[in-house]
Amino acid sequence: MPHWLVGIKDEQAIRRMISIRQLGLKAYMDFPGAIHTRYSHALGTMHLAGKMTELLSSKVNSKQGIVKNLKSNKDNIMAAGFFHDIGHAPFSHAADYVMKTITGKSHEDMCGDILKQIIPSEIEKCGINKDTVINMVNPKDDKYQFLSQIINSPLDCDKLDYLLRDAYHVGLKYSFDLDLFLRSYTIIGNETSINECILGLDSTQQAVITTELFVVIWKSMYDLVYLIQDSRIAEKMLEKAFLLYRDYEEIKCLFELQTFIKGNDESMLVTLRGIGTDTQKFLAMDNPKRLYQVALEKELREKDYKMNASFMAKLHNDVDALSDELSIKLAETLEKEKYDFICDIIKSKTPNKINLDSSKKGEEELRMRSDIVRIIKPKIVMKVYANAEVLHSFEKKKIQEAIKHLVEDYT
Amino acid sequence: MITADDIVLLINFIGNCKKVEGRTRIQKDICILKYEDKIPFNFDFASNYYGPYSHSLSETIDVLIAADLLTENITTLKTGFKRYDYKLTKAGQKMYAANKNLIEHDFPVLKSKALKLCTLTIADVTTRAKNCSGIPSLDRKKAK
Repeated sequence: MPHWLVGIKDEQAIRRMISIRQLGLKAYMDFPGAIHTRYSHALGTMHLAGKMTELLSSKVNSKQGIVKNLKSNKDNIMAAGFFHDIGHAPFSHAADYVMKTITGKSHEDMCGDILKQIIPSEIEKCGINKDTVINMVNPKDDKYQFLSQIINSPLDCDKLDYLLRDAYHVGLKYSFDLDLFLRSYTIIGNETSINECILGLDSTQQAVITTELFVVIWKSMYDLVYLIQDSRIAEKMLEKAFLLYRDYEEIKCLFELQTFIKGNDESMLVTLRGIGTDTQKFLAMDNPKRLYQVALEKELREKDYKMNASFMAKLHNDVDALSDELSIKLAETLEKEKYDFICDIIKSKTPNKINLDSSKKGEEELRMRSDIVRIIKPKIVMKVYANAEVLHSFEKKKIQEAIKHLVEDYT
Repeated sequence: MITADDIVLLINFIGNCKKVEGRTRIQKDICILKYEDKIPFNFDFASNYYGPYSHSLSETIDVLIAADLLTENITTLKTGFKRYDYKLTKAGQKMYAANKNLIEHDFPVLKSKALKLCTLTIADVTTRAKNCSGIPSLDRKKAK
């Protein structure tokens, strides 16, 4: 454990991560063996951030300015790795949209608040600059453009840790040679200014093949774990329970900083259960028989839905808000109670831009070299989940028609 | 945050060009239209080693491809490099036609600017994009 962490490791905001499961509701539904926590992921990401910094420094030893910058920021980079997820609410991704709705803040914003207001400033006496760390986690200033890529980019240490850790804990024997992969990382760009550099990969056959393996595992983890159906439905149901009661003091209080840093999976569920019997029907993890069923699953494509520009802009900007808006409108159209239907628009993941270091030949992306990466195409799927009793009394065709109208008449 | 206008303008630009040759080119073209020609695109650009790049533009292109408004075809160049070319699908062309008059009325220069950009080499558009003013990180670099 690095010296700057020793002095603050017992802080409640940090200890709290021990009682938040990394996979959130998925660990209560589809993967009960996945008992690993946010804390172990934080430690793993921190370790990899340090390792990546060392490797990059040794690789670009001719670029003195960059090496100096990396070495002098090693502790800050490791701290950013450790703190990057501290602002996640319990059941993280199920609560992200709720937190944004109630507080207007993302988990990165919340991380900034915790670092500024909760983490003792004695950490700064150990060489950590809170502002630098915050900017690496949530870059608002492009001065940190390169350093933030170690924490948040297609090749970041966060992804490297969670893919391997999550795969191991859910029982998938997916793996790749992490050390070999890290050795192919490089800094592309102008050696006089780190701000203009980008994190990329060597333009070698070995780097391309290792990265293909990484991309395939990343894609498979989304399809088989992160978006697995029952857990996904349970997460959306939990989100709706919070949204239904978002004006209750008990719920708002969960997202106030002083309460937030004490909250964990269990305390959040206790609060919801305590609100009343109405919330119970949304808590599928307490009774999986309550789990909503799939009423519709269809790709959002022009041949089935004539989408207008407003709909597509909203789809790009905030898919969670759009899904919620359609859920409410669908219940109104079909004259049912709020959230008897839950719309869930899922944008499939495609690898973001990964550059290869072939600067002499011009810009080269992994996509240009890899057939495997090239065939991963973007896809958007509309799903509607419904309470089993409600679904029983409806023809699926009626739901399909209502959704079609809502999408096509969207303003 | 992008708006419906960004989608309509982007479709109009690609429709005017008929085909945009390359992921790099579409980035640099839109950057020039935004910062040099003052077409009000809301895509945020940041400067990096290869010139200005907008992640939100890249994501919007993915949305348009997924929705079948845009196709992405691969061309293998003499160098062996693969290039991604963008064209409107039939549905994209319908959207282009539906908004064409309105865009030409509101942004009379867009069509001629788009057609002119199509005639330039990738090296030329990259240099022009790198010289645009208004991109925060680029402006800071120039100030130094």
